[in-house]
Amino acid sequence: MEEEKEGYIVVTPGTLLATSEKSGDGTYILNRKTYSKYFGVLKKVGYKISVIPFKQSYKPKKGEIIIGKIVEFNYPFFIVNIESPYPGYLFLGDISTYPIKQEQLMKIYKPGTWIYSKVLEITDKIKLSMKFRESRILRNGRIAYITPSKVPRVIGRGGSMIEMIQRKTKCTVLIGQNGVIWINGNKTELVLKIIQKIDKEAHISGLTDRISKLIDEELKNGRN
Amino acid sequence: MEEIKLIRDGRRLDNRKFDELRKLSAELNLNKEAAGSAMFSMGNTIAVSTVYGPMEIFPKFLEEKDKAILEVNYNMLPFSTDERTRPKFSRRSIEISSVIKRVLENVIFLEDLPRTKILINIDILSADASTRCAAINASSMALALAGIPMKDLVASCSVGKIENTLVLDIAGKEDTEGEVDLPVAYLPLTDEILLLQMDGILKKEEFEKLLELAKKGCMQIYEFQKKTLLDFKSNLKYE
Repeated sequence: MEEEKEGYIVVTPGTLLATSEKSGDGTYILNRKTYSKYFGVLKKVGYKISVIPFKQSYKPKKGEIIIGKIVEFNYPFFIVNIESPYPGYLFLGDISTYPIKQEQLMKIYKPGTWIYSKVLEITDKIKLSMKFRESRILRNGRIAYITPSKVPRVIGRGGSMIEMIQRKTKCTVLIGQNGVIWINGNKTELVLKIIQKIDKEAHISGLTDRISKLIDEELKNGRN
Repeated sequence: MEEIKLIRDGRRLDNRKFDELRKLSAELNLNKEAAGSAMFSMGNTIAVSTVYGPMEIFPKFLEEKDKAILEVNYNMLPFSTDERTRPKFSRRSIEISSVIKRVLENVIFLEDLPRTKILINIDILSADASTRCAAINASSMALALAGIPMKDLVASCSVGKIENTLVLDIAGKEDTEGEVDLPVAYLPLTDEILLLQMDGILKKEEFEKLLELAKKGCMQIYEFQKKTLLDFKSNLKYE
């Protein structure tokens, strides 16, 4: 059983999607038929059928940029909470190309510090790196959370959504693929409201227009 | 003591037909902190299931390299029955927890989430027979909401025999006074039976008839579960 409404189809686990074997995320094959794995929204691109779940825990992939929180130091690495079932590990050698003493690093990377970093590689541990250009320590600002499967909607096609939010609210917004968002600026409350709206309505089409309208209204009212 | 008549004029004590379910209702996402939660009620039996995770396992030696582990805690709250039940885990609750765990292990793709744990807490708010069926129904909806990969939704209901009549969905007095109680959990997609427990004595032909009746009841519950989940997201209106 499936329901169609304004261009999106909601499916439950076990819904028959195709009577042949099709590839895609969030589906599985049983007796040469394709079924849904999640409770989510159906998406068809070419020959691929995939289901985007409404809620999902983050599964790290190599090369993704994420935002995490330092939990503790345990020689020779920092343990980082990356909002995933598995913790991230930031090794001392992956922090900087310059030689910095361990004591100094421990002063900078205190427990509770938010970092903008990259997944270097996944072995039995998830290794993070701070050596790439955009990586930084996030001071001030505030943190918001969103389901990892909805991160592409916050960024928008070719970065259109995030670019519009930043331009209109004049806030700096950094997005981690793990669903953690860092906001800095004068109108953090407004950005938080927008992100909550996206989290709630990501599967309904015409999102960018509605968000743009919301920002204009809020700015006109001058509440934020 | 006067004997209670369970069937009068072709109707049961609560004025139901022999193959009729009790009134079903469900509520979703009760707990905002959990990954997913659902309340399922069949008549006076109410079960609340909350799902947490997937999360890290402590202590570490419990974790498995190639799959996730499930932890199910079934508990009846003190006010759920006529007489107060002790809130600690009893022999009965441990048994039912493990039965529910075995049902759900067949449904979840555990190998998709290696080295993690999924925690399911089930509370029975009100007990009026077939609590384990309500618990399974609530848990399968809560798991779907939590975004855990599943084969299908599981549906469960109980069938039985009272005064030599085969009936669907045992309730209240029928459980204690009746002859047979047979809870069944059913996976419609593969036509599998995941739970089958029985107390009482049955003939072979009666058993086969009861199983057919149980499948029919489970399909009704399955359709109800799907409809509730779809309505929950489709009725979402934007301002």
